[in-house]
Amino acid sequence: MAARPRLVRALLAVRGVAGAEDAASEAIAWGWEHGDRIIDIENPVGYLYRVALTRSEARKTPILPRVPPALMPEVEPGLVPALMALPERQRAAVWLVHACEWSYSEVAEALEIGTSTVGTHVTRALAALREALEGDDGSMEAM
Amino acid sequence: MTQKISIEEQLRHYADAVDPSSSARTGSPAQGRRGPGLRTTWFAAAAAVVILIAGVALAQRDAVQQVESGDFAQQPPDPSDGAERTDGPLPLPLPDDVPATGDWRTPQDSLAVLLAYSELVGECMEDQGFNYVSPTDQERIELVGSWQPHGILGIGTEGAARLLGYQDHRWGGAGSPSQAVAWQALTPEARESDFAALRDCQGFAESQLGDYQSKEIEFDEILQFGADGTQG
Repeated sequence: MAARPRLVRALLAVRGVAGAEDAASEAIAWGWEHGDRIIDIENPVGYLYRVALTRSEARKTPILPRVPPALMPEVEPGLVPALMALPERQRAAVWLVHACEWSYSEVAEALEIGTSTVGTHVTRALAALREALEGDDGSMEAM
Repeated sequence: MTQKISIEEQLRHYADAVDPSSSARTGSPAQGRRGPGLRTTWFAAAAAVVILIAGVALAQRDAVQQVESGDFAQQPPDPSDGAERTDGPLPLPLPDDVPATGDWRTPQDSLAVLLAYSELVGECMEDQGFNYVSPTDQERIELVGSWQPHGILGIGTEGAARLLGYQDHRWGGAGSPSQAVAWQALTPEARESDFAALRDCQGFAESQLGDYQSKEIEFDEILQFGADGTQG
C-alpha cells in the first residue's frame, strides 16, 4: 500500500488540509532522493512523518474544515475547534492514535518521544476534548 | 434509532470525511514492512482496502486509456456524479482561508487535467529540441497518484504538482523514476539547459491551462482543452 495516503492523513492534524499534501510531498521527494536511508527502516511512514515535520513549514494555525452537522451528524460541531486548540503534541498524538490507528509505539517513534509520554498526551488530549464538548459526556446523539 | 459515539470514534469519522480515500489512509505506518500485528478488525479492513485499491487502480487505468484514446471528449464528466463514482464520503465545505479548487473531482477528471498539462509541456520541450520523458502510467498510478483528488483540495495542490516534477528545483524536473533516469543521463550542462527550457514550458502550459498554481481552474474548459490536446 502506498505510503503517501497514510502520510497525508497523519499530517492533517499538524499541518492542516492545505499543508499536509505539501508536507507529505516534501517528505516523499526526500525519500526518493535518499532511498538508501529508508529502505531498511521498519516503519518508513513514521520516519517520513518526522521528515515531513522537519522539512515543511508549519502554519501558525493549521486549518481543518469544520463539520457541517447536516453532513456528519455524528460528529459534534465543536470537535474540530477543540482539537485545533490542543497543544501540538497532544493533537498529533490523539490524531495518530485514534484517527489514524497507529500504535503507541509507532506514534512514539514518529514523534520521538517515549511510549508512556504518548499515553499521557492522548489521555490529556481526550480529557481536554471532553471538557470542551462538555454536556455531551464525550459523546453525542446521532441520527 | 439513537446511538452514542465516543470522541475517539468521532475523530475517526471526521478523519475519514476529510480524507476521501479513508480506508487506504488508516492503519499502521509500518504496514507492508512487517506483519500486521494490528487490531483484529484491521484484517477485515485490509481486505476491503485491497479491493478498493484494485478497483481504483483499474478505474484509473481505464481513465488513462480513455483520455489517451480521446474517448474522454465524448463523455464529458459530470462533477455531480463524482461522489457516486468515487464512492467516498461527501466533501466538506472549505474554510474561509483555504483556496477553492473548483470541483469535487473524480480521479478521471483530475487525470485529464494532468495529462493535458504533461502533453503541453512535452510538446513545448520537443519544439525546443529537448527530449521530455513523461511519467509512465504505472508511475502515475503506483508512485505518484497525484491525480487522485483530495476531497477538499482536489488536484490543485502545489505538492501534487511538485511531486510530478513540474515545480520543484531540487528535483530538476525529474518527478518520477523514469524522469529521474533520463535526467541522470544528461550532462550537467545539458541538465541546466533542459531545466531552463522545462521551466519555460511549464509556464507555457500553466498559461494555457489557466491559473493552475492558484487553484482557480475552470474545470470544464481544461478538460476540453485536455481532450483537444490529446487528440493532437
